Amino acid sequence: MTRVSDQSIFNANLRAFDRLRTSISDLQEQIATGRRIQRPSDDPVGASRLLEFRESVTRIQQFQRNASLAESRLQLEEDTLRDATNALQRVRELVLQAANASQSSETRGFIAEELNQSVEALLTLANTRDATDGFLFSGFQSGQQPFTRTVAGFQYNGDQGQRFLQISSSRQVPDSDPGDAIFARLREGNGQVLVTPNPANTGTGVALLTTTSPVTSYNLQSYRVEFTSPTDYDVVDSGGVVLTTGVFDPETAIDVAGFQIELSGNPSAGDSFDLQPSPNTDVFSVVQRIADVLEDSADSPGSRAEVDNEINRALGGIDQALNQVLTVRTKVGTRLSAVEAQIDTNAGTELVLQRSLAEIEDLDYAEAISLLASQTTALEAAQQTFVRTQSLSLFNFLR
Amino acid sequence: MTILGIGTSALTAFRRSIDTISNNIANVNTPGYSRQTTSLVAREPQFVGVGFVGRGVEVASIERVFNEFLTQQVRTASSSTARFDTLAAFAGRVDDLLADPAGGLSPALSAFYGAVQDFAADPASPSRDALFAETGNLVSRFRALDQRLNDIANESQQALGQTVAEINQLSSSIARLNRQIVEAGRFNSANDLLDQRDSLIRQLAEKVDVTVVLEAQGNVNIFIGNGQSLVVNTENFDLALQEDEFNPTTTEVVYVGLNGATSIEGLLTGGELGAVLEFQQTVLEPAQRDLGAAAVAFTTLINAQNAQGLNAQGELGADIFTVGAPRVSGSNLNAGTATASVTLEDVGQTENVEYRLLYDGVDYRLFELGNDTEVALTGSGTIADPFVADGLSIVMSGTPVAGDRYSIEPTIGAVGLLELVQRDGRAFAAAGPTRAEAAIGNLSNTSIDNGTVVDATNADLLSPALIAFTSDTSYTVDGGAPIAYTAGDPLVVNGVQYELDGTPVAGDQFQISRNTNAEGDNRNARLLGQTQSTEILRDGTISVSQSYSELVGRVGSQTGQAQSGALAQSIVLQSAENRLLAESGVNLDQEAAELIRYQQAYQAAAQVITVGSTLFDTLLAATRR
Repeated sequence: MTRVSDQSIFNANLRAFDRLRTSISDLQEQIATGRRIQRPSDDPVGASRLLEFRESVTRIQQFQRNASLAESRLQLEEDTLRDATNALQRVRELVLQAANASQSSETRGFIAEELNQSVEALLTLANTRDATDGFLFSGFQSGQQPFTRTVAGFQYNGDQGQRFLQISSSRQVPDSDPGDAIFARLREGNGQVLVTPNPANTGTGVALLTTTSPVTSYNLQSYRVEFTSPTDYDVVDSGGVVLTTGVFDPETAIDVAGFQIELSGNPSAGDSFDLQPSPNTDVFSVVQRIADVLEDSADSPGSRAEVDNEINRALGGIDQALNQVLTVRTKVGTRLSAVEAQIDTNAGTELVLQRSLAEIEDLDYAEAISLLASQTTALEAAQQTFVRTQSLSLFNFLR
Repeated sequence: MTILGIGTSALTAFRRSIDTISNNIANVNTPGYSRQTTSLVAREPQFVGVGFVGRGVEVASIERVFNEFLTQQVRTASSSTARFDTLAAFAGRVDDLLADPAGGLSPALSAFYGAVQDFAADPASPSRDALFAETGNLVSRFRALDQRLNDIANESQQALGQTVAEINQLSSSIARLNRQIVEAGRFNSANDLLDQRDSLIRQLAEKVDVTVVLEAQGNVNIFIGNGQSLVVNTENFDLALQEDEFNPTTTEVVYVGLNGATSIEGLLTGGELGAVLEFQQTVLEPAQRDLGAAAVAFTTLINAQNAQGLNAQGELGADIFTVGAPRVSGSNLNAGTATASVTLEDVGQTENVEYRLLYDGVDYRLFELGNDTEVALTGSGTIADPFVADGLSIVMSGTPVAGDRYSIEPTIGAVGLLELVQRDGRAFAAAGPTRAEAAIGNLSNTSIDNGTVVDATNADLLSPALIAFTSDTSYTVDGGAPIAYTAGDPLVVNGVQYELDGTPVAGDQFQISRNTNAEGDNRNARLLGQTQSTEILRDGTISVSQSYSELVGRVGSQTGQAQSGALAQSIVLQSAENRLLAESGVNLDQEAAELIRYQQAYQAAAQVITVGSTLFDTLLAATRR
C-alpha cells in the first residue's frame, strides 16, 4: 500500500485544473479564430507550408490581375485593328472605284477627298491611347505619339518594344504590338518587288505585277523593261546588260527575273518600266500618295495611264497593309484566347491552393467543439471530486 | 516511586510525540518539509532480584522520514523541467513573433512582389509610388522583426544576469546552512535545517545542473560545469557576468574561483541558466542569422537587377538598399595588431554559424563555431588575393601573434543597418538599357529583338552601336573588324545579347540605341518580379521567402519540442515528487490517527499517575494511627 500525502493530492488536483484550463483556453482560441494553427509550434510543418501556400495564392491572384489587364489591352488592340481593317477595305473600294474608266477628273477629286479623310482616320487609329492615357502603338515609349505627319512624309516615333505581362509563373504575353509592325514597315508591290513606270514615259503603257507568291530565286537586283519600239522590248539588268528581248503582246505577260508583268495600253519607244526590291513604306503614305495623284489627275490619255499605274501600285500597297494588319490581328486573337485559357487555369489552380490552405489552416469545428465539451466535463468532474476529497478528513470526526 | 517515574516518563514521551505530530500537521503545506517521527524506546530496566522491572519509556530520537535517492530524482527532474520550461518560454516568444499572419516577413514580401508585378504591368502609372511605399513597408518589417529579436536577446541576457545572481544567493545560503548543520552535530539531527538545505539545493538545480556530494560530517559540496566547485564546506564561489571577449556590448558567464575569473559559459547545461544559453545558441542566434541572410539575399537580388535597367530618369538604376556588412571583431585578449576586414561575396554559401578565425603562429585558420568544423581557406589574405571561404572574403592587415582570434558573424548585423537609400519610386528601373531596330532600308525582312543584358558591368552598356552586315555570314559593329555570323546565333554587343529573326543579307543594318523615353518598357521590372523565386540561399537551393518559411517551421518545431519536453518532464517530476511525498509527505488522516493514539496513551499514563497516587494514599491511610 502506498502512502498518499495531502500535498500530493492537492498538487495533483492543481495540475489537473491547470492542464484542463490551458487546453480549454487553447480550444477557445482556436474556435474564436477558426484557425487550427495559432502559432508555428502548433504544427511547424503546416505553419511553414501555410506561408508558402499563402504566397502562391497571392502570386496567382497577381497573375489574374495581370491577365485581366492584358485581356483588356489586347481587346482594345483587337478593336482598333478591326477598325483599321474596315478603313483599309473602304480605301480599297474607293481606289477600285477610281480605276473605273467612267471616272472624270472631277469625280476622282471627290474620291481623293474621301481618301484624305481615310488617312486622318487611320492616323487616329494608329495613335490610339489606352486606359491610362499611354499610346497603344508606340512600343516602349508610351508617352510618345507613334505617328506624326511631317514635311518629309509620315514618321514613326516609337520603337519596336513590346511589353510582356506575366500571366503565370512560366508564361508571358505581349499586351500590344509596336505601331511600325502594323502600319509601317510595309513592303510595296507584292511584298518582294515593285514595278513602276519611268516618270518620263510618253506612251500610255500600264504595268501590272501579277506574281503574288514569293520568287525564291530572286537576287534582290533591279531590272528594267525598255521599249526599243512600240512593239519591241528588252529586259536589262542594273548594269545595262540586255538579258532577253521580246515582242510586246498585251495578252502575254513579260517575265522579268521570274516575275510576271502584264502590260496594257500603248507604250512608246523609249518608255521603260522598273522592277526593284520592294521599298519600305507605311500605310498612310500609300493612301496619301494615291489621294494626291487622284486629286491632281487630268483627263488626258497620258494622265489616265499615269493614274492607272498609280492605282495598281496603291492596290498592291493596300493589300500588303491589309495582310499585315490581318497577321497582327491573328496574333492578337491567339494571345487573347491564350490569356482567357490562362485565366481559367489560374482560377482552377487558385481553387486547389485555397482548398489545401483550408485543409492545413482551418479548424475542424465538430472535432474542436466536442473536444471542448469533453474537456469542460472533465474540469467540472475534477472540481467536484476535489471538493469532495478535501472534506474527507479524520479531523472531521475529532470532536 | 517507580510507578510515578514510569508514568511521568510516559507523559513526557507522549507529549513529545504529540508535539511532533502537531509539527507535522502544522507543516502539512510546507514545501520540502519531511514528515518527522519520534522513536520511543523502553528505558533501561531495573534488576530486582527476580528479574528486570521496566522503568518507563523515553524518546530515542526525532527523525525525518527521508530518502536520499528519491530526493536526488526529484532534483534531477526539477532541473530538466526548469530547463524545458525556460526554453519553451523563450522559444515561444520567437514563435509568437513569427506566428502573426499579418506581422511576419512573408506578407510584406508578398506585398512587395505584388507591387513589383503591378509596376511591371504598367510602369508609367502611379504603381511606381505604390511600389516605393511597399518597399518602405518591407524594410520596416525586416527591421521590426530584427528589433524584436534583439529585444528578446536583451531579455535573455537579463534573465542570465538574474539567474546568476540567484545562483550566487542560493550557494551562499547553502554554505551557511552547511555551517549550521555541522555545528548542530551529527547526533543531534537538525531535521528542519536539512529540509531547508535540500529545498535550496533543489532550487539551485532548477537554475543550473549541479553535482551534489554529501560529506560525512553532514555538509554538502556542490559542483557545476566540469567540476568547478560552487559550495565547499562553508565556503561558496560566485558566478559573474563579464564583458564578452569579442563583443563589448554583450556579456558572458564566468566562474570566479580561487584563480580569478574563467569563462564557463560553454560548460553550463541544464536548468534555467543552461536553457537560456541553449535558447541563445540554438534558437535565437540562428533565427537572427537567417533573417540577416534573407535581408542580404533580397537586397543583393534587387540591387543587382535594378542596376540592369533604366529608371524613370532614363539612367541605369542605382542601389535601392544598403545592408549591414559582416560583423568582425578581434578578441580583447589578442596580443597582435592584426585586424580583419570581411566582405560577404555570396550569402548563399555561408553557413548559419558564427565563424572563428584563428592565427596559429604560421597560418590563419577558419572554424565554424558550435560544430568546430575547420573551413579550408584559399588565397593569402591580401587585398589582391583575399582569403576566401564559404562566400566570405577576408583581408588581413597588421601583424598577428599566435593565438589571436577573431569572431565573424556574416549576417547577424545585416538587418540592423538595412536602409532604403532612395527617396522615391523613380529609382526603380523598369526599362531595359537599350533597344534595337532594323534599318528601314534593309533588303531582308530580318527583325531584331530589344536585347537581354548578359553583362551588366560592361562600361559601354548604354552606348549606341550600329550592326552592319557585310555579307550573309559576317557583320561589323560601328565599322570595326568583321565578326563571323552563324545563322540563329545571338549577337552580343556591349554586354547585351540580341536575337535576330530571319536571314540577314549583306547591307542590312541594325541600330542599337539607348532606351530613352521608354516609359512603357517593363523588361527590367518583370525581371525584378522574377527574383521572387530566384533560389539564392543555401547554395542556390531556396528562395528568400522559402528561407523565411523554413525559419518559421524550424522555430515552430524547436518550440514544440521544448513544450512537449516540458510536459514530459513535468510528468516525470510529478511522479518523482509523488514517490518522495509518499514517504516524506504529511497525511493528515495518519496524523489524526496518531494524535488519537498518543492522546489515549497520554490519558492512560495520566491514569497511571492517579493510580500511583491512590496507592500512595492507601499506604498512608494504612499506616495512620
